[in-house]
Amino acid sequence: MKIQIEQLKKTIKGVTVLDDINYTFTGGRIYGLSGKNGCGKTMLMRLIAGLIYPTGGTIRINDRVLGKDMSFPDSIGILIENPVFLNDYTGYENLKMLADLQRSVSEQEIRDTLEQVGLDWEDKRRFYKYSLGMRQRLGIAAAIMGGPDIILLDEPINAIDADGVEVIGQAIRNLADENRIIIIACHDKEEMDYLADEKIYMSEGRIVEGAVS
Amino acid sequence: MKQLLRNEIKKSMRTKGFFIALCVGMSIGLFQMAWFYKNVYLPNNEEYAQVINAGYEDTLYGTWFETGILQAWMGSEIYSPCNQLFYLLFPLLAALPYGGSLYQEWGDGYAAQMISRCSRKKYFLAKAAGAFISGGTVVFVPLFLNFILTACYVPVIGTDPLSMQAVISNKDMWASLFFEQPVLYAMAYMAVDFMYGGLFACISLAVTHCFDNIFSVIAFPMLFACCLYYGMDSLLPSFRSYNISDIINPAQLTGMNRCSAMSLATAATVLILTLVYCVANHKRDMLKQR
Repeated sequence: MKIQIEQLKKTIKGVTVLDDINYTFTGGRIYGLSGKNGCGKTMLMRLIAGLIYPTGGTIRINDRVLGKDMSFPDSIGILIENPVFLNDYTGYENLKMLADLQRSVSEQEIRDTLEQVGLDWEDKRRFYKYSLGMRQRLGIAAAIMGGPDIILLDEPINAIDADGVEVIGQAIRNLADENRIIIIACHDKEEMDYLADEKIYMSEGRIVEGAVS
Repeated sequence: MKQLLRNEIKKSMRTKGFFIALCVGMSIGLFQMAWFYKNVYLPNNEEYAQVINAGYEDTLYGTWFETGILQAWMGSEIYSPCNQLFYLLFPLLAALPYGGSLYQEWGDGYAAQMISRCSRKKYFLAKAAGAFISGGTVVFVPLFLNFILTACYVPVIGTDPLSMQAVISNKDMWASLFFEQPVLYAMAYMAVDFMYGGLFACISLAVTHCFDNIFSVIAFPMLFACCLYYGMDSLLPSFRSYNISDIINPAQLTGMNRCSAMSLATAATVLILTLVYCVANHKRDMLKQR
């Protein structure tokens, strides 16, 4: 698995939000994106996910150009900004509905994924009754469910308690053992040190070269 | 795709808007039925009893005509204001269940969850199918229920053209069905209304990105229908047979309904809607959440 980003540029209403991004993500590693608010972390994730289109440059996923050879990465799990699900459905029902779209995910896998992030799959509460932390956990569960090749997590530990952070961290680390690219945007430096194999610092829509470790 | 369609249809029928639209439509239908029973059916029957008991001859009294189902059905009954009220609210009721769903899902980011698991094309197609079916259902159910309940006390007979009680004349569209096959006439119009209910809901989807609030998205089809109605009525009277507000009403109030005009208007609506929907969503960025 390989994501190659070449001279990526994104302009929204005349404002350049990403400029001259060049980077290659390879499988089996966890990448940590950091930088101040508005530096372009989320925008970069949206571009990799195919949710927005670049103004210039290309994103190649396994040598296929995103937006040209494919409209979306074949196998991707995303949690960008706030986790949103259907209010009138339980956590399990929400995941089941999404999993039904990917026929490869079994009911047992959904249950396992929910347990992995510390949620009870038998919980009958509907999504609107979930606490912020539970919503975040469900968002992570949706992103990692089915073990996609690319996982993009934007602030995954937001609103999660200390115990939860450990559980989530472990779940993410377990996924990294395979040939998979995980990109995490995170403000928590400690968590970033624990999770990320490679850290990328962004500033004003660019990757700051010197800060790449 | 089949699963996605099933999910969208299921979702569209579990929204609050679906239940509200259904309740409003059925309330109008029930009120109309009660109103008709009290104000038309009972006095008419009393008159009938009087005619029978008094033994009036035709020459003295005139001919008494029994009330037929299409005189009593909300779709073609014109004695109460319910028909006009229902067809005035028709576009709004149709758009309520799922017309605003794209606005909501696009804005809150749920669309990203869906699109990352299927393609954009499939997502938009499934959304349109969900809106179409839920929009059609909420206008069909009150009409159908009203027809069934009305048929419980009014005989399912055609209206006699000589009675002068029919809103339809011999020249009007599907007049032979109206006079001879009332059930088929009602069913045909219910099918037309189902289709237009669905199309009105899809209009909301198509204009989703033109507005900054969900209320405008949902209200747009009604505003559009009203503008079309008054615009065509006063500015282009010769094109009144293409007026959607008239096309959907089985009472054929303007007497201008024509099958060819209906087909043309429907084809044009579907074509324009598809075009707007495709252009509006082609390569649209899924940006920041609202």
